[in-house]
Amino acid sequence: MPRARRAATTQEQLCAAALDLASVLIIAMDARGRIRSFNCEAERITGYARDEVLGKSFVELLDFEEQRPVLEAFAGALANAGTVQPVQACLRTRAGKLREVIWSVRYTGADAGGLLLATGRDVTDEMVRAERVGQRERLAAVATLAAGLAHEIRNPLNGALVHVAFLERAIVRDSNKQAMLEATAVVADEIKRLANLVTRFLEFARPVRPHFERTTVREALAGVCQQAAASAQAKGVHLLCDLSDVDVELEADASKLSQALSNLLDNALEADSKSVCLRARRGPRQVLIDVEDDGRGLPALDAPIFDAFFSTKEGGTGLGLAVAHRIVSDHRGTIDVSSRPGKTIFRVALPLEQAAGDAR
Amino acid sequence: MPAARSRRILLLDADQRTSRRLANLLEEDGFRVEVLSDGASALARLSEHPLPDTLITELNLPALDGATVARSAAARSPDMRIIVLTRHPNLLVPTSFGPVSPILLTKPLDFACLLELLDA
Repeated sequence: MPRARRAATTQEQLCAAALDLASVLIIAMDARGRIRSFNCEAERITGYARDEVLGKSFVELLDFEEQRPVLEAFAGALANAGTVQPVQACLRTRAGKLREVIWSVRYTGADAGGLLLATGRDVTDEMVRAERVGQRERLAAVATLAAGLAHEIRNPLNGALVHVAFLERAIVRDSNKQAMLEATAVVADEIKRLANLVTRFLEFARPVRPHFERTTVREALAGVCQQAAASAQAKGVHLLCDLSDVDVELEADASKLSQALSNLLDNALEADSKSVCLRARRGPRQVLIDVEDDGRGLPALDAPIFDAFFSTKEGGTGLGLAVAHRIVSDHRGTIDVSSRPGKTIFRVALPLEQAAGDAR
Repeated sequence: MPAARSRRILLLDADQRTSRRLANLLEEDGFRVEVLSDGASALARLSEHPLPDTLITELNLPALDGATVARSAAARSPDMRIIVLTRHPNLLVPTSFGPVSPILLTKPLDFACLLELLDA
């Protein structure tokens, strides 16, 4: 092989290898936008194989949410025979997923094969991360503000409740009028309800870091069952707490875990159910705790039930499930829900071990 | 009648109107209650006799915080019962009490609960 030819071949091989090593999508098209080459990253991101896309229209294949910016970039590159400002366009993968990609487009010019070269950087995960951080920061700011407010609410509540106690006693002493006593009892109840709301809100907005210790599911949840039994009886709901099979050890913050399960049980008990069941079993690396009820079921499966202040119950705070979710997440666990009228299961999966050196 | 050991109470809270009302109620039940509204005057009071049997203090006080007062009270009288009123138990740093292990009550205070505690 002549030396010049050999050098060219090596150069081509090098280019081909570089194309496939690149961590950006690199797609070459003819002037009509038909795909001529498609690198590995383009295959990975879009889910299409090179063989099935060659010759197809770039814009049609990737089914952009908005075609116009892409087409304008192409037109601009063709007209200026150079590079144009990068454009962001959201493509649809073969599996139907949307990916945000920032595209740079350049026209090689007719002398160099008349190709349109598009390179794209997938920024979907970056955007999701940024959005999450932004959301977290906004939430933290609101939470700090609201926690301060909630904290300050306790003082006037305290003043009010102490004075209600005084009034109650004065009524008993002076007239013992039942209607007045009932009225003061209502005021006291309302103050306590408000205080309870503040407590729950603070648990949500200013959670204390969990303190992990070795415990067993049965030990951690004994108090919860007892407490739930009392409230089930008051509501006339049949409650079955079966933790007998799970004397398995796990690393958890027992009081927080109790809080989470107690919130899930409260939720089940308040779902117009006749019976509620709490049971646990051990998986290979985790404990699964189910809270099942035969109540009305969730309003919709995509209802944001774990969002703070989402509630479908009269007088509900909308914090019970949000707090439960946060606690379980702090334990690196998950809560899954399946629901239809007559059967709703909240399944809590908790890892048996927390990651070592976890500073949370 | 309340047990002898808890008869004398020092009540500390910046909200004097409520403290006085609470003191009225406790006095009707046979307790002797002194009300103060800041940490510095509480510390001064704790250097005099007779010392209270029970200290009920809010955590946030003007001049000096409730935890400091509680530590000083416990140093003067190890038998003194210490009840801390807090608006947010989560914010409480247990170590700030040193060797003292106070009874924590969250505001709003349930008077019946307090009575039960004092009679115990």
